[in-house]
Amino acid sequence: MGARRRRERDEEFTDFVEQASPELLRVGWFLTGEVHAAQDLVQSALLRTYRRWHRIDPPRAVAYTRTVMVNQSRDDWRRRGAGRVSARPDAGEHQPATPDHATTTAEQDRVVRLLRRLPPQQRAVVVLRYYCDLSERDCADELGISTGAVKSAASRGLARLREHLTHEEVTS
Amino acid sequence: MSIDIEEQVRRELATSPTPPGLQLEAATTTRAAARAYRRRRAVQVVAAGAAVLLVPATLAWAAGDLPDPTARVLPASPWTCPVSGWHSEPVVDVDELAGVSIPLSTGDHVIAGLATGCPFDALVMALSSDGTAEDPTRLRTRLLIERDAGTEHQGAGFVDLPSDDGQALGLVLPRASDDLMLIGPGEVRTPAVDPRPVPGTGLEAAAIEGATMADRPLALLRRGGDGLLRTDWLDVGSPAPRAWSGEDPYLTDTWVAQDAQGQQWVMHGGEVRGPFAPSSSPRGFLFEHGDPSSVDLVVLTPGPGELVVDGVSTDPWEQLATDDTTATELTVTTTRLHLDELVALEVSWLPEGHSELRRVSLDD
Repeated sequence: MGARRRRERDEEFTDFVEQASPELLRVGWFLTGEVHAAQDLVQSALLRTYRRWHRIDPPRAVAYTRTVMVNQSRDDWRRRGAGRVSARPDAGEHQPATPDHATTTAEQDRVVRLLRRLPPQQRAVVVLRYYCDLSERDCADELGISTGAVKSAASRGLARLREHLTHEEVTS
Repeated sequence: MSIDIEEQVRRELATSPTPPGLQLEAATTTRAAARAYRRRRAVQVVAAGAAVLLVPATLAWAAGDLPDPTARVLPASPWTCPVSGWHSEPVVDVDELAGVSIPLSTGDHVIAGLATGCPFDALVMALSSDGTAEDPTRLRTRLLIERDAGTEHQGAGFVDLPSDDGQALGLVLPRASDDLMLIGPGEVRTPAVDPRPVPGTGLEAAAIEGATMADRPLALLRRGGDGLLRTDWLDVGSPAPRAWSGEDPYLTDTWVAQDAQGQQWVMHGGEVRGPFAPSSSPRGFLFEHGDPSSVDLVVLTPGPGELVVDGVSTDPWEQLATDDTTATELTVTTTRLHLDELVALEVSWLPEGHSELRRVSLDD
């Protein structure tokens, strides 16, 4: 690859990162519940996207990167052990600046906290279906599973989320 | 599922605040990606082994002829490396180099070392013609590549070492690699190796006696210093169809692969099963994984669908189609079965778009 083509490729890729990274980072945040882990996940996925940049249809680049992120986060989850709860200070919620902000953040981050209680596949399906607004078919394509498995994971994931939400509302 | 919970989750995800600091700098990310890409390209050359290296190495070194087709000895090139010790013949006069570290040899055969003093430090996988490890005055280079410390933890390198005593497969591995398993042809074996550190690098060199690339082994499985399993595919350049789980073919917990002999293998959690003949019938493998209350089930099916265990649809852990470069369609589904929930361990497969279950034969 010549220097000019490399430069063009890098410029294209930089534009892509600028446009896509805010949403990708939020997906990473929902998948991991940790700021640094989300950044690592997105960066790691972007490295792989860069490697295949010449083979990726531009409109599919976000989807490809998301697929890599989901696979990577699932592998990380398995490597760390399913029951591990991060001891990192930013795990699950960031540090609030003020007490008022703390209350707001904790409440608004409730969904992140609850997502972390789901197994990775259910979590990924919930994020792709209800944050990225993908259809069951598109979700299945991105995850490399059947639409039946997407339906099943979404149903189970939502059921668990509802249980947790109900429990939190009762205990509060 | 009620619409309420769907809408609530949708709303909460949409309104959840983005934590402070959750951002990336695009230009920095691109630079890091470009750097990693170049390093990966370099390590892929190493990992691909001598057969694949022949072309880029020949180009890189502006090679002349290959005097010994069996040994595929590559001439070092005076055009790309101005050190006077490099000859147009396939010989390196290491006295002309600033230094060379040769940690391991079998008889006259030097397996690996680090040559310094060239415009770049070079990782040498070499066989010695006129020298030995103790007196490596002149080395007939076998494979020589620019050393890149950034790639050393990723891939392994391989080279054949023909000798009077038989054959050996020379390996260069990231340091602290453990639990080596050589897969194929026809068997899985745990090679007896005595890795030696290559000074000045994060690498170790070792030799597996009685194995060669020419035998077409499929892969080397190893556990890295970080405890993760890595697979280095030796059967490179062959059209053997492969299926592997996970995005990264080098770092994975589960894979299924077909070797150059047309036989298939399945690996999960470091345990390898095979070889077995490819089949269009669904086939399952049970793997223990350290928790006696459950087992992992890996099922190979000729397409996507659902797994049904004792009449209950399972929630797959992962389900991946064959790599898109392969001709053979195969879907690999992994799931964890809890023993206290099992009745008869009858596993079936419901192909996507069909209503008739097909029985999955289980191999222990």
